[in-house]
Amino acid sequence: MRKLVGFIVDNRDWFSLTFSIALSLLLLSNNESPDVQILRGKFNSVLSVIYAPVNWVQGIGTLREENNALRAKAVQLSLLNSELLQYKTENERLKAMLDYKESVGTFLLPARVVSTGLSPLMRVVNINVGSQQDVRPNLAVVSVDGVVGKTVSVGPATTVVQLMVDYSFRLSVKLEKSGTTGIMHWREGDIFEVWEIPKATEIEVGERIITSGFSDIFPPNLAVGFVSGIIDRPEMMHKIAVAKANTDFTTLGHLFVIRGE
Amino acid sequence: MVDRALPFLTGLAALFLQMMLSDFLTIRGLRPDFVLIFVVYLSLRWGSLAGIIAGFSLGLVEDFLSAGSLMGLAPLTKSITGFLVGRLQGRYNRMSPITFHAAWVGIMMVHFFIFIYVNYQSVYVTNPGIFWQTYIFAAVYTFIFIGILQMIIPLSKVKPPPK
Repeated sequence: MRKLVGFIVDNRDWFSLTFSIALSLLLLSNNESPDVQILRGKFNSVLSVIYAPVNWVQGIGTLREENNALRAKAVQLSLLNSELLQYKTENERLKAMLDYKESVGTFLLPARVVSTGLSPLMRVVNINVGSQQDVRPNLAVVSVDGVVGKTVSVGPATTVVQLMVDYSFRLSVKLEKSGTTGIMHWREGDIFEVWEIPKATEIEVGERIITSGFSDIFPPNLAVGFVSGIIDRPEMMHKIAVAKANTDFTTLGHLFVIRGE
Repeated sequence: MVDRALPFLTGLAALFLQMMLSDFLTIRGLRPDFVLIFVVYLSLRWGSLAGIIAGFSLGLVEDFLSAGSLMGLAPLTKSITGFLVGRLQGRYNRMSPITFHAAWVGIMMVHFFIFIYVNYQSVYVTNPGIFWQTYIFAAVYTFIFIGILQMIIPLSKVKPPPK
């Protein structure tokens, strides 16, 4: 027994390494376990408290800039709104003529980014709403500019949002003019790609990209981005539209979770 | 007492730095890894065991606070890094400077490879170019900061504590 203890003490580095690797692998294999998710939710609640002063300082620094941008946006939106009101009236009249049943409405839950985590890779953000506000996994998250991502892990007061710039994120989108649908995913930097576009489809650079609605998560017609280039090689079965997102993922502040009413 | 408390406090400072500064320093979704830099310095001074403990515990905290990341990956890579860099403790005088520096750079590169590979394994298959680009950028970004720190506290001058 003494020999065994002596052996372990002499080789404590190796034993510690083996133990830490085993424990890490165990954690990796239980990544989706509800206990781990709950624990993470609690840690994130603590993190949001720690981050509060940082957010406050950041908020002051960007307040004037944000205020000016919001004023400009408000003017743009009020102009757009008056135009949309006309469309709404016309739309309602046409719907009444067709005896159209009203679709389910959506409810926007405002949220604020409290942290972007500590990982060297930035692919998620934490927002300050959670299950207490009826947030659940797989809800669409948008900003005033467009789609941002979806909720993946929900704690009582915080929620983790998977951003569109995560490589594993896929979004079913529609090119507004042609009406063709495709799958959008992040490529690098601020560049995205829309795959599965038929060769015959005419795509224009600058064309708006919106959500297709072929998803349980994202409602149709949410602004996503615009086409910035086209890849069409003879050996390819489909075209690829190179795209840019409307959202600037480096300056996320105020977001909205889309919740069915 | 102070000498023993110092690593703990420095570890907390590294974590705090990672929390507070990483947002400002994010480029193309990548950030410098201050915790890894701390683990490298700590392992060179205190050896493999301390490196494993620091790497594992700080990696675990990092994973808990980075929802969305793979739970257990940071403790795995950082404890391996702590162990390997700890093997270099006190060897600077017995090795050629080039071998010594190549060794810790190589260990950090291995750390980044495992970390990026596990996170971007689908990219590795579908688009190797982007994978290698991300890997190199993530590693170089942290190397810039360890390079700056080297000018203040060179790794070659980090010696084991007197017995």
